[in-house]
Amino acid sequence: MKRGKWSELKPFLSVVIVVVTLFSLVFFKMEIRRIGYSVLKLAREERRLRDQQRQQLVQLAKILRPEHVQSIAQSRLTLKRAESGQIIQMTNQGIALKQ
Amino acid sequence: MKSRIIIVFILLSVLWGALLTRTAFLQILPNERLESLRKKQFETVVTLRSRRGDVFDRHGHELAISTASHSLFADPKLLEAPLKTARLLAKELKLPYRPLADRLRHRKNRFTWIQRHLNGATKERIERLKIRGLGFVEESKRTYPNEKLLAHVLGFVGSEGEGLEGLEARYNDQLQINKKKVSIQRDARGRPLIVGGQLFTEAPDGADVHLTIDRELQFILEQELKLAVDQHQADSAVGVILNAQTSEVLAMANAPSFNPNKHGEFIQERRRNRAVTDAFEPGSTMKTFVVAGALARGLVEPNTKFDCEDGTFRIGKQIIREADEQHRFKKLTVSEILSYSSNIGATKIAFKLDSRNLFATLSQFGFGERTGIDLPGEAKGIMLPLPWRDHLLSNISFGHGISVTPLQIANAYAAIANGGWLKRPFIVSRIQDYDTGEETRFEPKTMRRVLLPEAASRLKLILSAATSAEATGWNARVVGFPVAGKTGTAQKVKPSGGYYTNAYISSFAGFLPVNDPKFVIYIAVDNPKKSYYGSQVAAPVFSRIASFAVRQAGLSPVMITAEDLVPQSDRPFRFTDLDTEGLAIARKRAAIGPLKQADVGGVRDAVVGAANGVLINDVIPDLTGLSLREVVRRMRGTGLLIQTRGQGFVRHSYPAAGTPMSGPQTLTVFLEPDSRNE
Repeated sequence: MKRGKWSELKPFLSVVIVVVTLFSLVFFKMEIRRIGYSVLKLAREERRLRDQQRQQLVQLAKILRPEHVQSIAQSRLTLKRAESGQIIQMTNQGIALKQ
Repeated sequence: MKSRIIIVFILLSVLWGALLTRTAFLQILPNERLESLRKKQFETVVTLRSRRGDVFDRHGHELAISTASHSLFADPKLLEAPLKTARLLAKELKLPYRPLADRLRHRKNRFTWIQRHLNGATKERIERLKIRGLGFVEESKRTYPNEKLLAHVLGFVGSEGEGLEGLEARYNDQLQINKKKVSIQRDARGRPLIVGGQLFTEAPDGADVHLTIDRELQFILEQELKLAVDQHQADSAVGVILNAQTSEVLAMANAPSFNPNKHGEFIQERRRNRAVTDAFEPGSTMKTFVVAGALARGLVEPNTKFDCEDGTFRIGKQIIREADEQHRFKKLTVSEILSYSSNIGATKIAFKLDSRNLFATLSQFGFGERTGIDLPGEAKGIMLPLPWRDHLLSNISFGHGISVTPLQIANAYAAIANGGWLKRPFIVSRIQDYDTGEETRFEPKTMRRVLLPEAASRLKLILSAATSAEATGWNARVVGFPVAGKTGTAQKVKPSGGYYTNAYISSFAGFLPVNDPKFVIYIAVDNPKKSYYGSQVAAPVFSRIASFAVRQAGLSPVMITAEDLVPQSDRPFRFTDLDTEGLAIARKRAAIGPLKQADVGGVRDAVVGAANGVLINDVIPDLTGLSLREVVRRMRGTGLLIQTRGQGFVRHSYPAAGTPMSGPQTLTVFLEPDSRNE
């Protein structure tokens, strides 16, 4: 490129660089803002899921509570509470003991 | 012209200069009014939510959980159609229409709760209605998934989430982090903005509290107490189970119980944890400590005899009698005094010990002072200061004239069980920070030595005799495990003074197995109507709970009598009980080796155990390769007479394996030395 032409382009390039820099700054600012909103949305979603998971934890704990298990065993499986003499305990020596 | 231009230029310059100065004034110099305006426009204050910590049992089962909930409120002034809104909400939330409509019609009122603690799904349904004037506030909801289980120990929280009773109140500071408010920048729509890479949405959660409680043991204790109350038409019952070596609380229950999820529906009286808050006269369970004091000072030996005065003993103007007026003991040893629960015998030992020493002994065992357990509202009981008159000394020797809490008695028995150390009972094993994982552990704490090991051992033997046949604690025995303990039957004290003639507190305090104590259990039943002796009311409850505890802990029996073994006639399963297919498979397998679960298919699983164990007696089992000792053990109880030929290991038998057995017969086993060893 001729020296004269390059000199003619210099002011134009300077303006272009300034404009591009300004646009880039604005673009990055907007990107930060956009990502910020995405993070906020994801944080809210995570919170919702965590709440949901804890709700399910409560449900599971309620289902597994001993009283509930016993009532299911007695009402649906028609099991009865073992009384004295009905429990047989096997010892380590293979001996059957009446409890 | 030029001068005009200059004037305009100067004017414009002045104007611009003024504007710049004003801008600099606004931007650079501090201005409170402008600062507050800026904050109002660009900043918002957010209350960071913090979850209350959970409570777990020793195996990690949830006992109290906090979840986020949404509380619905209305601003009646903003509602466009209050009656229509009331109708919609009543339908959606299943609320009565009329009271809701009345509340929403009051336009002067700017805030009213519609319903608190709604779940996320309900919130979304209501939001879809898009009614102006309704709003939600996020709150924390405490749930006790096991409902009544451990209610008295856990306590409950108030409507604002603060612990009001029990552990919830005691550990409120650890469970609950105070709400934090932060000021953050917001956009035009009020959404928070990330500033400096930080987005504040949540504060650290409260710490999780892990208890020493065993949920299964707690359940059994509560069930048995409830059964005892129902069965004996009692007013209430209380029970405590401690680890005999560390005094950690494994279970603590009161009957009747309450549901902490609906604590407002129960009266305060029912929500009290009587195991720590109530002191009462314990009765004969105190005789143990009279004997402990006398043994520790070498004043008596287990076989030292005392004259029990044929059932009547006069102290001044008062006459002391045995609990059962039909009991008229003459001479009893110290061991027998506890076994038969003689009031006069205990009085005689107390006189030998004297009031000063008995006071010191009881103080050493922790009576008259709080145990220091980490539960709120603990009572210290009542032990009158010295001097004691003879009559009071006598009364205290058999558990009257002194008030103690169930926990104090259980802990004092734990001191005997562990060889003489009084330890501080505790119920929280660790507190864990949910976010950082940091733990604060609580270890057993020894308070003081109250008995020398030799005295503790002798006292354990005396107490184990108190649960032998003919002793008052016979109903507390557990098959296979020696139990040490003492019954108690105390007349109830009238609030106005004196005693009720027909109201008692029946109790049993003990521990097992005596040779290596694992559990200390105390049971007290308040005012049983059908029968009232501790031996009839509390001891059987102790036995059932202790039996479960040792089975759950997988302890092996140490004391087996012939009566405890399952007799032949009680065998639960026989091959003849099986269906044809199962019988064929079982016989075939028995001939060639032990059954495996997979081989029996649809046959009851239980048959596998029967076919593999000593319960086989319908066919000759395969004994090949067994030693003579193993053959004898395996065939024990089958009724077969075993003859041997040779030495070493079984090569074959006659009748052969798989042959049906028909009544008593002889089984000949042919033994040969093991060729592998040659």
